[in-house]
Amino acid sequence: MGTVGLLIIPYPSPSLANPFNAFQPPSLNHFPLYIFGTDYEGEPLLPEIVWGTPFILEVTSIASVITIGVGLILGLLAGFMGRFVDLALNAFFEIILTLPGFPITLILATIIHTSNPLILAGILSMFSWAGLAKAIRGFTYSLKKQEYITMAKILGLSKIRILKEIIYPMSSYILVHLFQDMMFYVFGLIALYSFGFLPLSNNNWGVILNFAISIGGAIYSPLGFWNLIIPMIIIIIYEIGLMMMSIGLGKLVDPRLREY
Amino acid sequence: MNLQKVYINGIWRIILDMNDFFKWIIKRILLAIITIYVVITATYILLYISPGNPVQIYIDSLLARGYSKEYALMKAREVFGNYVNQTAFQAYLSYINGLLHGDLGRSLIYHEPVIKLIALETLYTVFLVSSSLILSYIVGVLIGLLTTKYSGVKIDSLITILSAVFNSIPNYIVAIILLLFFAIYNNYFPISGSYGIGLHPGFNLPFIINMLDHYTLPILSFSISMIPGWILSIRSAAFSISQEDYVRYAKLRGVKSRTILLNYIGKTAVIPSFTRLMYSFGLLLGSATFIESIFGLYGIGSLYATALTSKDYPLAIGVLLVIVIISIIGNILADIIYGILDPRVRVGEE
Repeated sequence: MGTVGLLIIPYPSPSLANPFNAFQPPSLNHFPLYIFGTDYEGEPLLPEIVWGTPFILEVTSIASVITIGVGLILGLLAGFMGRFVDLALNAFFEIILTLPGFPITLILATIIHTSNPLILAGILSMFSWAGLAKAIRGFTYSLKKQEYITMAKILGLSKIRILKEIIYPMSSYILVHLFQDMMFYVFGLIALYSFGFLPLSNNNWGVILNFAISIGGAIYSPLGFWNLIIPMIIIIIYEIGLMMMSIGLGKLVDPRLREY
Repeated sequence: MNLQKVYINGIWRIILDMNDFFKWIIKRILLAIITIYVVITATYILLYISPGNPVQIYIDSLLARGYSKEYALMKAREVFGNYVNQTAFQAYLSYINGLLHGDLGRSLIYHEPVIKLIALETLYTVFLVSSSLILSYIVGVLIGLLTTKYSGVKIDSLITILSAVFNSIPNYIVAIILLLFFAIYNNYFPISGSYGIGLHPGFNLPFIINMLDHYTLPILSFSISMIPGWILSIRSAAFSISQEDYVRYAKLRGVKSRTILLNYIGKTAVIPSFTRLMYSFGLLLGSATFIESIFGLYGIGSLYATALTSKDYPLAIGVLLVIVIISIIGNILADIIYGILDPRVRVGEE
């Protein structure tokens, strides 16, 4: 929707806005422009939802790539180096793990108050890589003791080759983690926007929800009902899609997960 | 003689194990203290040193309104505590000293000491979070064990698919949907507030009944988004345990399937998720922010949201510290209980 829809649906333009037309329920007039109804300015909601998608995709995918990158590198480092590096990194993971990430994310988002996707992704992924890093450290430990790694060492294979052999069995876990992180970040990002912790300057699903609640009073009056329900349905569909993707990719990469 | 030797060896072994366990616990507590210290330092940097920090903004806003510099500094000292006019290191020491004495500064919007505001609200949040955790855990474990019993039957796959779908719906969306359909369009439950008007908070029957009425939807919305997670984890744990040799041997011996499910599989499968229960307590305290603001409940979550949206940083930092400390204590308790329940942990981390 966020990729193909951009080619079909026109960019949301204020020229379509009509205050007398605000908060209309979905209708089939001018198909498909009004199938989601109109927003608080009378603008059709469909283009706003479609053009709000890339931002969400961008932030969540950058955030999950950061998480995977940091988690993988630090986890491997701790697992490989052992000794002091391991001890220090492990203590660091424990500290990050015991911190409640979400309230800290909230306060950072409020103080920094930006819509820059990179910074937002950094804030979102700040505390969630530690679990992955710890899991990868554990994996590395158990894989290092496997016989084929010992064989590889005896054969004198290069360190990079051995590293590859260690990463490969973990790939399904990492892929599944990637999509689960994305689900979690969509959850967090939209919450940040819809409860007004971030600037409402650009256009995305969270902002639509926020306007539905604050201007339409959607929770207490039927006025903004459709503006509230439609983004929520879209979010749920998107989350379920990500979840199915994570399950499917996990099975694709790792034959052990397949059920016959 | 020989038997006695084995016996003494066994006791010695247990004492050594316990010794390791205590060492491990002490290590955890030290780590927790370091964590709290790091968080306090970080909040100090955020509040007083970082560019564009709230104290500077507050002083600037007073200066812009035409007050003298002395007055602005005095006012800031009144609000943020006695360390505005000191050197950075002195201020840092007195900040920590103040925290140790329970002085978290004064709220900008309520004009009251932060500690006084937080103390009562914490109880409401702890009630909400713990009751929804317990409810979802009990229901999740029961359904998870049932699906293990009927594994392979259609109900099992239906429950798995349903819980996977519900697992991916954020809890604030569940909360909004529940609020819309059960409180606003149909008046089954009150719309907002922690208790009705004209009731005195305390341990009297009308208040408790009224409060339960108000908390049904919030607890439900937390639980609905958490039950699937418990079901899935219990189910996968129980599945891998049911493949173990001792369970298969019990089946061959003709032990009742009910006994196998409850005693052989159930106990072993529930222990690991029990620690997750304690861990998620801290996590939920954080995400209570949204549920509490949607339902207009008292609690540190909604207090946090108000503080952040109205830029009341002393209050926000106070709430944050309370959440951090509670969740860290929860984690340590979880580790200790886990160590008592599962002897394997006592020996070491590997």
